Amino acid sequence: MCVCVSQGKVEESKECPEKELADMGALVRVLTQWTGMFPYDFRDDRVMALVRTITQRCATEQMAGVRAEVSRTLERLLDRLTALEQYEQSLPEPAPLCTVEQLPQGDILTLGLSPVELARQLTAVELYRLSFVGPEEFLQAFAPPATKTPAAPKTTRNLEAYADWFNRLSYLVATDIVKPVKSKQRARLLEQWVTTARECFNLGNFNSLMAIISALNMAPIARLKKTWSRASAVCGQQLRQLELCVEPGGNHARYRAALAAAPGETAVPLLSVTCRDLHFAHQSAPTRVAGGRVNFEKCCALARPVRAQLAARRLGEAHGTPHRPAHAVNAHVTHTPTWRFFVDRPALSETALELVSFEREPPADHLEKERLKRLKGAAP
Amino acid sequence: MSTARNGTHNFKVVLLGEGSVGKTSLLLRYVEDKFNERHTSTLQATFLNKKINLNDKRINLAIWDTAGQEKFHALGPIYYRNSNGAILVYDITEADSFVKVKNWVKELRRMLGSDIVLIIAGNKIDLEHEQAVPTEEAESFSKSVGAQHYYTSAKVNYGIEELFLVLAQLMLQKFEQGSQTNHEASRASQVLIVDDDEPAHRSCCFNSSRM
Repeated sequence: MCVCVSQGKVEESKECPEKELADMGALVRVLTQWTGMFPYDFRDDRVMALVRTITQRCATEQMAGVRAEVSRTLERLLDRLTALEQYEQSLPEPAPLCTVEQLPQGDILTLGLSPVELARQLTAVELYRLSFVGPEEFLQAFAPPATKTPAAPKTTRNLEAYADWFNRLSYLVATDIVKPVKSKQRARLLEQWVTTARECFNLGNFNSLMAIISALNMAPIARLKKTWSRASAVCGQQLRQLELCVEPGGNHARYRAALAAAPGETAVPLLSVTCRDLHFAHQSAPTRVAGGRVNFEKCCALARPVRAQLAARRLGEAHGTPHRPAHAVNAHVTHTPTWRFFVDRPALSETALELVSFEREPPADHLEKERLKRLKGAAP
Repeated sequence: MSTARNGTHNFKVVLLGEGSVGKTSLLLRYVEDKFNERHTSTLQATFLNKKINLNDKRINLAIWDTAGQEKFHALGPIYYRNSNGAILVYDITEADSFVKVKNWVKELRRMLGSDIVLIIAGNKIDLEHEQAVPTEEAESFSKSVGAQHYYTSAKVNYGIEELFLVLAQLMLQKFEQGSQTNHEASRASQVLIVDDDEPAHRSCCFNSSRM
């Protein structure tokens, strides 16, 4: 890309005006494509400097024909970069807490949302977060260049942030459930989360679904026998059915089939499976083939999971007005109660989760007693 | 979980460890005898299966590689539930990767008690001159948590066959002990990971897994 732009610069003023305008038109089209696909490249001042050169040249009289397109492109780019900055400000997570008393009041039920609505808002949160992940970020993480020369510094961590969100959702769900002192309330929370998980499944939001399932499988939650027994019997059955749908056997065959059948508008693929697919695509084929040629087959194999993961993002774009990026379509999510709940709320640390779980329901056998003793010994 | 249908024992094994310690290479070497001789195949299988014969018994190992998913801590329990064995891989040239192994051991012992057979694999032994985790430390830790410790190299194909064989033997032993003392006790409780009382009494090596 850089080569192309600087060549354009060299050729400046040697050509006749018509030729120059046509060249500039082509250059602007490239720029539009580039800023649309990889806007984060333009966080680099060096790249932005090139853009400025182009816009300055477009300011002259004979470039009037491309001026409008260049300013539209630039506007969209700045919108994207501003949105990214705003999003990044929302990223720092509250540090995990060590005691349950420090938790803010209320739980997911105090939001007063039905499981259907909660699942819908969670899906919007997923799509919004996913909309910031650039396709290049997957390759930076899973197929880094083999050369020893230091790679260009990473300017984004949206993929990492999206993976963190998965863990965070899981810990928040677990925290939410162990928090109430009364087992009846905990049981109601279990029911709320299991039903929400089911609704996530109906929407094809597998990422939230899996995070909730993981939370319910964490030791501090799984061991709460009394709580589980007070929840409705259907609750356990539903959970088992849902677990079956994301069971990893046969290379996640069930999940893949379910994803293919999920409603396109709300489907959110499981990020962990995409990461796994990328890892294997990278591990199973060489980047260069005989003669040092690029292995395009591998490029396609790497592109496939990225495209599938980001399909949701493209859909968001298709449903918005033309050129209205997915982040703008989904931006309303930041005003929902669910967003606030999951952005502001601290989760309990792993140790705290265990300790609180034992407070809620005392150790049931000598293994658990041992465990509690050790936990207390380790606690400050 | 292990079953013995048609006389074949099915064991689930989970491979855990930090990113780029060589989990996938180790597994590929074992299952397909390949290292880095990369070819586009359908190796994407989440579970890779290996059939072996041991003491006239047929054993099917379903090996679940967690590579590529290291960032998703919350998935841990999903990975290792119902596992009969775990291979915890570290890179002998990376001290941090051994710390990660210690954490996994703690978690596995906590969640599955002594039900699960643990093998700790110090991979990349072909880079012995860069060893960052002292052998004594690795071995004494392994001993203290009732795990076996092996050195492996996926690159030069060292120690891998043996590691899986020992693992299979230990899982078979555990299964045979278990089927004598423990009838189906854990079957109904897969979702709740209920800690039934029996497993604790079966082994003593678990006591030393200090947190």
